[in-house]
Amino acid sequence: MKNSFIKWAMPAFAIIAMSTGCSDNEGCTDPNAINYDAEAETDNGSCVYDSSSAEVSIHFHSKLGAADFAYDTDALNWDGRKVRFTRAQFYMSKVSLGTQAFGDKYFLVNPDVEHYVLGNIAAGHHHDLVFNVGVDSASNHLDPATWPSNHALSSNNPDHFHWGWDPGYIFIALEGLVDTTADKSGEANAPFIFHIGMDNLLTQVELMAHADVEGNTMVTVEIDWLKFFTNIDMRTDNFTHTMGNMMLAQAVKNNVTTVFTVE
Amino acid sequence: MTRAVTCVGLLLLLFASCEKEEAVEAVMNVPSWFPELPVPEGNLLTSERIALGRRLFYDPLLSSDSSISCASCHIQSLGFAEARQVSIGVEGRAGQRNAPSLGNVAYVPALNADGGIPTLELQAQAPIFAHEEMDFTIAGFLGRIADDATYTAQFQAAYGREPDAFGISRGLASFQRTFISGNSRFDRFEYMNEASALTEAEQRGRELFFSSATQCSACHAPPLFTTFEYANIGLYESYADSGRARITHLPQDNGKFRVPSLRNIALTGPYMHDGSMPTLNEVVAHFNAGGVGHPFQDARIRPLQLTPQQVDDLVAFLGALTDDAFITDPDLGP
Repeated sequence: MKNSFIKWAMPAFAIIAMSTGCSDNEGCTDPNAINYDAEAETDNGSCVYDSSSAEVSIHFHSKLGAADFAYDTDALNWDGRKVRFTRAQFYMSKVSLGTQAFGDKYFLVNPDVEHYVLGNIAAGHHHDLVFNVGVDSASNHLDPATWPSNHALSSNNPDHFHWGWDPGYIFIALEGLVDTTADKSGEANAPFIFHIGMDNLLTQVELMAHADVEGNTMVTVEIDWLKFFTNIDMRTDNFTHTMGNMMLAQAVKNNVTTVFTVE
Repeated sequence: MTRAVTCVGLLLLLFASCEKEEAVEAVMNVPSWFPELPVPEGNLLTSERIALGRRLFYDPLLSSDSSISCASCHIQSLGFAEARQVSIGVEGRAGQRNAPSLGNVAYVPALNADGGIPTLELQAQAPIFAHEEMDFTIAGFLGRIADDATYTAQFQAAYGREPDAFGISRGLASFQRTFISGNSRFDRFEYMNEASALTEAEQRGRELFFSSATQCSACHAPPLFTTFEYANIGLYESYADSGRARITHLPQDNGKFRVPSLRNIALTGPYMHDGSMPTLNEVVAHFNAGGVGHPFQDARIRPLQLTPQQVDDLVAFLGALTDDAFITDPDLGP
């Protein structure tokens, strides 16, 4: 009796032990996959999709007005004032195309990276591309060290941008130099810093994409980074960490939806 | 049967190790008169975690130019505070506030003088990124220690993972939770029946401190010598640093800061959130005068009519809150 118990128990325990291994909860984290695992915290690349679904990505084309985006290069803002960017980035989240959502994915968008893979959705014609600029309140107040290392919100990410205290992530970071002369005849040599965040400044962007999703599909969206400054007098209004200058932060937020156009 | 028991035992061990949080009896002496030490479930104290955090706390590689460690502004011999008015970060950049003492920091319910950081784990990351402090990134630090097998082994032993932000923040928080200070002469007098532990002047100061005439202990309540509430003590008529209002956006919170603990206070000057008062005598004189009359000044701040002798006695009593064992404890040093 003893021996038979042991013969039965040993393999059983071994199987249980293996299946309860010490790794994090890994699996397919994409709700649009047919093997979506709601328990999975880290995507292990195992997602399998219905044969009628297709991978969708956004191609962001960064511009400064009519010209392509370039750091440390003079460009003229809405009222003809010279500006130069040294930093330009924002968090994008809760992306959906038509009725299809891409799950809880977060992206740190900057001009250095043009291609952002959203995930798989059902093939067909989809109208609206919708996303948030910023981080939703639920995630905004989580500890950045708790995300997987390769996650856009992880503090392991060298570009991650978090205030380090209660307001959470800096949704939009625009830094550089601006000409602050009265007649706009000088050089862009005075710093501007726009750090925009806090829950109430999250902005939803809706674009008419009219995307025919079939096979791998790319939606190209133009970002004119200068449009964040529209109607802001950067001669005097050139610094906000949001909390210290909420009026200016709100003015930048109000411009967010004008920054993007589907090409 | 023995083999079966062994098998079950192995399985239980496996489950237990998966938790990676076997709380060991931490090498800590929390006084019996202290509240239970608050430790978050996700970061229970283990000797490995404390050891990792200790190394990180004293490691200047966490700053962009490798010049600043946590210990640069939180100096053990000064009660883990510093003697500067405000902290100086990389490249000589001045911060906005006086570095607080980290004594008994495990008990602080929300960090920073304005309570803007909810956990010690989150707070541990803030100075690494702050422009006027370490001005660095976790990724940059990880690159520097990539070839350090000892560090990697310590992260694995502590958290069962490669070096990353999780281990850095949790390790630093764990080490700081061991900063327990409860062995001052006041403690020996008050809780250990050593009547001779306080001088006569200190005992007179103690009477004043706990009296309804001064109400010092209404906010600086033992054993931690703070209630952790936020108060405007009438330091200025107009505050350059809005304090708690920065977090709550409520006008009535303007100029409110968390009431600091007074343990080791004789070592942690200069005082106030901005380090504007160099000595304890100036601080007591401020309270004796009743503040400058800010619109949101706490009602308990009012003229006290203390004599110079009483002011000296209060200052003497505050000196009895110094914990010499804490500031020389080799387990808390580099």
